[in-house]
Amino acid sequence: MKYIENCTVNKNEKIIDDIYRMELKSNKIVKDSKAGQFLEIKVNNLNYPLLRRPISINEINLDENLLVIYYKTVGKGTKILSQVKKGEKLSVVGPLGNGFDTSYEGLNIGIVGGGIGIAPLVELAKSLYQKNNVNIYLGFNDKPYLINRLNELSNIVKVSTVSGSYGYKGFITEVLEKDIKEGNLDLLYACGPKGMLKKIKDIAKEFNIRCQVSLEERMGCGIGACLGCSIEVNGQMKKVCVDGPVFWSNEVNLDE
Amino acid sequence: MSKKVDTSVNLNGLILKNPIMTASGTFGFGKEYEDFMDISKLGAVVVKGLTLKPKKGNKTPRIAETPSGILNSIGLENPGVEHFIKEELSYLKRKGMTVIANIAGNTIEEYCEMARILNDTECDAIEMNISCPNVKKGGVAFGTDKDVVYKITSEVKNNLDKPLIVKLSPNVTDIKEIAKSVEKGGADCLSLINTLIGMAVDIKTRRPILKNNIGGLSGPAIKPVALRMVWQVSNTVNIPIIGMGGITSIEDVIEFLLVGANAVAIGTGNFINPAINSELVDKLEEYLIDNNISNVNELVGKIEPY
Ligand SMILES: Cc1cc2nc3c(=O)[nH]c(=O)nc-3n(C[C@H](O)[C@H](O)[C@H](O)COP(=O)(O)OP(=O)(O)OC[C@H]3O[C@@H](n4cnc5c(N)ncnc54)[C@H](O)[C@@H]3O)c2cc1C
Ligand SMILES: Cc1cc2nc3c(=O)[nH]c(=O)nc-3n(C[C@H](O)[C@H](O)[C@H](O)COP(=O)(O)O)c2cc1C
Ligand code: FES
Repeated sequence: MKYIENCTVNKNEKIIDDIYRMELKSNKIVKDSKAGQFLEIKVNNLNYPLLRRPISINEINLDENLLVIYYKTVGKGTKILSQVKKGEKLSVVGPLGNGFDTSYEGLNIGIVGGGIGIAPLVELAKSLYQKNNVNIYLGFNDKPYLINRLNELSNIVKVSTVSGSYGYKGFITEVLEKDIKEGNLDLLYACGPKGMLKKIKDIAKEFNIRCQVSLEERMGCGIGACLGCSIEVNGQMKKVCVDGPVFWSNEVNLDE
Repeated sequence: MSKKVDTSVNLNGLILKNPIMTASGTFGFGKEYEDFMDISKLGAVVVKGLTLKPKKGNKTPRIAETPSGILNSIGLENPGVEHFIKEELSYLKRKGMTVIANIAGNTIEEYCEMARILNDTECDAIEMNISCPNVKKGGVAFGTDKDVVYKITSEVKNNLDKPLIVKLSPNVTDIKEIAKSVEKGGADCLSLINTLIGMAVDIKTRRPILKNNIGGLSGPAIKPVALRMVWQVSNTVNIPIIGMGGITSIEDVIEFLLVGANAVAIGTGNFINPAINSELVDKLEEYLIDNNISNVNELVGKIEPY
């Protein structure tokens, strides 16, 4: 079930540079949420900016009824969001989308994240860890974040930075590819920039590994009503907001 | 306590329990909103624009946000009229809803064929979109020439026993002329406005934000244009009008009624608040009670112009 809920901001803090972490108090949405789903957040109650902003659920905290999000300030909406104070209320619609399929046990799993695409991987790791062997691969431009949290939820975390400031210097897909050649990953999950997802789709194909990718698309409604976010999956028109954002990489067309 | 007010409206034979409707293309086939409201409360549901054959629509990005508005270039993606009749219509009708099918075509014959197909179904009325700015062959060409408008209206009407609503494009020089042709062609009702053609630019990439380059503007940004057009048209024709364009509050609804709309439709507003349609049904009743108005029709056209 989807809800519109006025959520009180419990915390809104800068993590590094343009990356923020927010905790939202929720009574309804939090109870129905799962890894890989997202929220549509209205950053103020004015007609400008008009649309809600789609933001992934980073963590579901059922003990304290909190939904955690990580977001990057890229434009006016996310900038306004970064100014919101503790105690203020935001209108949130959710949980939205299908989320990751985490119904697996005893597998050797690779979870790959790039940039702000790392945000939804925390709840994902939570739902896979201990039932599976979880290997996490994180790619950043320069400054890493969320590494400690993900270390608690996995068997190993490998990091790369483009600048070389931390971990392997280069793209995380290079680390992934090397590990796949040497080891035996059974299943992949990925979220990040389109270029990274395309590369992972190719790797998954080459080594014949199943892979779930979480996609982004510009959205109007977020609930399947406007057809703004259509994408071709197995030759059929699907909607990123309800049929996704998670798709099997071999079924989804990532080319423009 | 609860004083009863009459919210029902009569659109030339099409009777709605209240004047709050959904705008085509923004409410899917209704089901999408059921988590947020009891959709059977609404005056009517106007479904996604239908074409004779299924349509894949345009490439994404199809949505761009602009100041207090959005541009869309969906390109009429839809599963086709037959799918609607088989999979969607009976569900809505079982809920006791008034269902209006919105149709778009590439030729007058296509419109007529869809009218004939829908005439044998339980849908309550047809809204003919002669204004969709997205599809190269259709849309604009029909809606901007008053002779073509007369021809298509009268031919579709000849193929239809159900009420015919014709939806006007705002992308014309004189909306009054077009409205007159629709009335002359025998339409039962008018709806306006469809989206205004616009563009959004990304200066970093030096490219349009929409893959289609241009799209249709909707939302609060277009409300003043919509009000002006409804007002002008209501002073020109005698058939009822469904007003729309940027409605997000009960005040907006009252404004449209005052300038001459007999009913209203909410489009983009659904994206901001997915419960807005049912909230407006309640708020309209409250407004009437608070202002000692016993019948909603008392508001229609009551603006006092200078
Ligand atoms: C399913 C999903 C999950 C997401 N999860 C996160 C997350 O956890 N953290 C995070 O930082 N970002 C996430 N994003 C991206 C985020 O939605 C955009 O960065 C944000 O909408 C930008 O808004 P803005 O006003 O700051 O930017 P502007 O450029 O001013 O936004 C203008 C319009 O474009 C849309 N838009 C711009 N960039 C994107 C984008 N990349 N994807 C979709 N719409 C966009 C905005 O929503 C808005 O409608 C996610 C996107 C999707 C689709
Ligand atoms: C995403 C989107 C899709 C639309 N699709 C259709 C359509 O298929 N047929 C149609 O007649 N109008 C369509 N419209 C126009 C709306 O029905 C309405 O006329 C317009 O958006 C103005 O109302 P609003 O400002 O309340 O959205 C669409 C509008 C939007 C935003
Ligand atoms: S955003 Fe409207 S259908 Fe997906």
